[in-house]
Amino acid sequence: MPDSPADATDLRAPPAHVARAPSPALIGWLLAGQWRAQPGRLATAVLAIAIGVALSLAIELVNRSALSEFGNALSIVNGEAHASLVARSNGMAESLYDTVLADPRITAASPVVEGTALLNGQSLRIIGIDIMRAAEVTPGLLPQGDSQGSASSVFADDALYLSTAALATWRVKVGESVSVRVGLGSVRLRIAGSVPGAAPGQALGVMDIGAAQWRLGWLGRLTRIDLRLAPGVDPSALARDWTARLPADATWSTPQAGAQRMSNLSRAYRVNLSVLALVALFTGGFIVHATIALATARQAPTLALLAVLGARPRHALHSVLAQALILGLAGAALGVLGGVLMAEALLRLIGGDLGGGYFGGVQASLVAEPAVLALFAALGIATALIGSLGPALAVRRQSPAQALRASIDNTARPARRALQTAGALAGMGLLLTFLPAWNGLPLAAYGAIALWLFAGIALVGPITALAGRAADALLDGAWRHPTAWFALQRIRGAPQSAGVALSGVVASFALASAMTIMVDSFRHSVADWLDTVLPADLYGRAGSAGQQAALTPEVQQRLTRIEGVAGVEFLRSLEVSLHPDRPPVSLLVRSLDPAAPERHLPLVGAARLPPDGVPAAWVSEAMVDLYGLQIGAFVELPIGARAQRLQVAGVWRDYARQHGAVVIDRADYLAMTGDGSASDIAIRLAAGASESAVTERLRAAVPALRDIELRSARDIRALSLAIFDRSFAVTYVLEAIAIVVGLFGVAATYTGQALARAREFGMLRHLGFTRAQIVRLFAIESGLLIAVGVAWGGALGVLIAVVLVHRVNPQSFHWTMEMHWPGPVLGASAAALIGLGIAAAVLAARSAAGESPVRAVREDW
Amino acid sequence: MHAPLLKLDGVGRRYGARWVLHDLSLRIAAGQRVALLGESGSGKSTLLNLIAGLETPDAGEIVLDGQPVHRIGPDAAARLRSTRLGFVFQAFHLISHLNLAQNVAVPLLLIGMARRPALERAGELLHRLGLGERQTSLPRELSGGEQQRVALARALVHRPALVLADEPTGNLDPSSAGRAITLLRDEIAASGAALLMVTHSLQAAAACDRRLALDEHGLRELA
Repeated sequence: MPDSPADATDLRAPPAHVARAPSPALIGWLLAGQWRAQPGRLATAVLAIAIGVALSLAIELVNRSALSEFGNALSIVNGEAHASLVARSNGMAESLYDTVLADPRITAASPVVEGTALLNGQSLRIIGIDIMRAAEVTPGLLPQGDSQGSASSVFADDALYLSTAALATWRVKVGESVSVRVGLGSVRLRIAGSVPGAAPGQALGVMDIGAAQWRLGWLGRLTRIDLRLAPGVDPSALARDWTARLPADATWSTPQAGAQRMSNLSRAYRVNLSVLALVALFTGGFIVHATIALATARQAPTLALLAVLGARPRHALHSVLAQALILGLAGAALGVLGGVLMAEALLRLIGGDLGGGYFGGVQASLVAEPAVLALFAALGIATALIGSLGPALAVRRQSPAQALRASIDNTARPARRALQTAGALAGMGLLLTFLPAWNGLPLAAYGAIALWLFAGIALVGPITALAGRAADALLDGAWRHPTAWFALQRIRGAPQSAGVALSGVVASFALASAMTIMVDSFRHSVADWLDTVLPADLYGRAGSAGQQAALTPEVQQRLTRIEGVAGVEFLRSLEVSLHPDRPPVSLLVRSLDPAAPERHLPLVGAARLPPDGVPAAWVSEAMVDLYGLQIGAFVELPIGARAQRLQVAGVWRDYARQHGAVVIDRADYLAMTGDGSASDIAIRLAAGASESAVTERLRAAVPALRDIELRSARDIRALSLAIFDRSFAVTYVLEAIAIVVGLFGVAATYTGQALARAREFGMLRHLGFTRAQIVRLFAIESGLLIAVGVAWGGALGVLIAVVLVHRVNPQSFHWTMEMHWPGPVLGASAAALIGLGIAAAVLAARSAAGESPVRAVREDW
Repeated sequence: MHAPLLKLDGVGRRYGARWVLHDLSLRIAAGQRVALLGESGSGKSTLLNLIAGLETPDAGEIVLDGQPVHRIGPDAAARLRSTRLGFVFQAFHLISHLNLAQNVAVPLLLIGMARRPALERAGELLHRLGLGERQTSLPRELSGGEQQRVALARALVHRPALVLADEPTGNLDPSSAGRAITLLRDEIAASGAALLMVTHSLQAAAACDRRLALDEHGLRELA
């Protein structure tokens, strides 16, 4: 026996106790060793999760903040009303108010008329209220006079009260008198005070209702009556009762319906943006997958040893998941912090609608509810855990006795099984593409995209092997070039580990190229559409003065006789409500040639005119989706005081109004209403006539047109495409970030692989390879693999783009488009990705091949 | 008479259609040292895996310390390994980023012992094996013989009933191998554990109480 102080050690004494779980110290030691071994890669995975969480959280917070602010603004206008009677189209008869007052179930009713007025080129919403009634229902709209004003001045027919934002918009001060434009007429008003209850950023004006009806052209008409119900009255029963006896020009609405309508207005845009933001998180999941897969490959001998020494099978699983959990927690914490800061910056710099143009006139402040922050943190953690599940299960499946002899190939999966998995996923995805939208959102189509993406990633291994074999066959003489030969053999022989590296590249490039194809297809379709809908040379919008559009028949006559004008088309634009929960539909009144409607409308499919005596309705694609109005169907529209029955004659493409539009012939409208006024003009110039000269002559003939902006078709087209680009600017940024995250993955993966192959590189240097040859070998191998990944990602991107173009867009926005292929952009992106990937690989290989070849192979001696 | 520590009756194991082990029977008493010799591919390592519960036999029964290893689940097999078995490998299999004391303490931590007493006990054992001054060294700083001593300490630290050693001197030079065998024999004797050692070395086999040969005909007792 050794003679040492430790002789007292009693080797026969049994252990003090046997617990069911290993000591936390053991787990801590193992994890700490892992983190020390690859801090850069783990930091990259944390960063990838953080970016994904930050982006998606920021988009969500901005959307929520904007909706919340818009909701506040809406509630100020709607006040404490239990319900409202709302005009379906061009106002409703004032007499309805008396009927409402006679109903004992209604304790308070506040009539409202809304119009617009123009000053300094800025349009402002003017709300006419009965001050005495509004105090009970919409106290937020009550005006406050200046110190000199008497109480009676509130009822003065020229008194206008402006919110703080409205004062800034019109650049006026309380006490000033201004001449505002209403239609083509001019109205002199006095800024009599403010509206202190208006929300910050809410630009509106308040007048006495009588003055508003007179000054804004709504005599005898109302746009809304806000109601408060007697205690105990069942709102649903009252709604049914009133709906049954309401005239055709009015409908029953509730504050909930108003909020729903507001939410519906931008929901598809918001959801699509959120899904796009989640792409970065999705890509981050692949980076976690690659990081954890490399980490488990490195830890495989340790985990196998622990299993042999008595660690239970689930210990290895828990150990891998614990590492992912730490990555997820760190990424989520950073991401939440970054998301809040990013949302704050976006709200300040871009606005609440992120360029979508949905929430004009509202300045949103950040609303960050703890539950939302927790949800997105959980999403980041879940992404990390899901990303690590594959490697964790592979480690658990591995026989410890075998793993002690050879390291785990934790992505090993027979090609046949990969094909079966991919086939099943792709099949399920295909089925999902046939499903309709759910609750107005293309969730099934998104599901199909996710399944196809997973199917494509499942095939990365077999595709890489196939590419390796093909390259080997094509480069028959590669054996004469050892570096190229080694690189090809490595690709052929190790497709599974290649798959780990490429998953992130395939996912990010597939999604980014799909988005690029979709946006490019959309842009080209919009450009083609603009060419069809802008056949004239000059366009102008005069608007309306109350129920009447600004351009009276007399003015129209004058405009047609201007020198240099070959023809003028007049258009009347109104909004009609067909469903209380949905945003209003645009009713466009214009002259149509029934024999050749395609000359005026970008028709989708053939037209079928209704029989004589039945007026025709030409509906946009959204009307088909939202209201089921196929060709031949009948639709009732609130035109004038009556509901008019029209038959759908054709469907046309409309990128301007995603909530639906109906075109009817002017002659039919005139017959229904007797109203020949128009709000818009489209002028065709005579040959040789100049735009500026004709514009001057128009303004000379009708002086009121001086305040109306006339734009050339060319300017409108350029402006429309500029607005399009602005709307999609956020998507371009999100795409770029997804690509950058994918590149992070490439860099992290190749750094890890180069380090893991230090021993192989050392062996090659013993065999006579130079350091430069090893770097070249790794660069060729990495370049070929990334090229395969990019090519496969691009192919998947095309498939996903088809779903985006033909399913997601029609289901979200209710319009179709033609496919367009942005070859140069995709080619440049692919080349950049491959180039940057090779650069990352070269840097990693230079570092790994720099180790002493003797030390690198030491363990093999 | 005491029941044997390890009892194998009619044990068989096949891979596909090929029986690697067929109808093996064996008894090992507590504290007994047994050497298992045989050509490569004769199934020696497979036999150790079966005894450790790392593989399941296709025929027969294995009872270790009263527990039927052939029909216990993975969790129970893991518990058995962590409490009743110790392992010494040809390639040592020390965890590269843990120091010597930590490496030795791993089996104690696996059964839930707190860190401080585990490290104290590991330190005592390293002292006993002549590595007390190098407790904080990393495995790569040690020679092959020293690494094997650390592996032996790890195999004994939790007082197993049976140590399974797979070619423990296979990676050592003859001089180091001789010292390792002496240490292995003495320390296992001191611990009271039994030893089943797979080896190609006659020198190692000579240090054991019994020598068995494994070939296609089964187990044979050698003189």
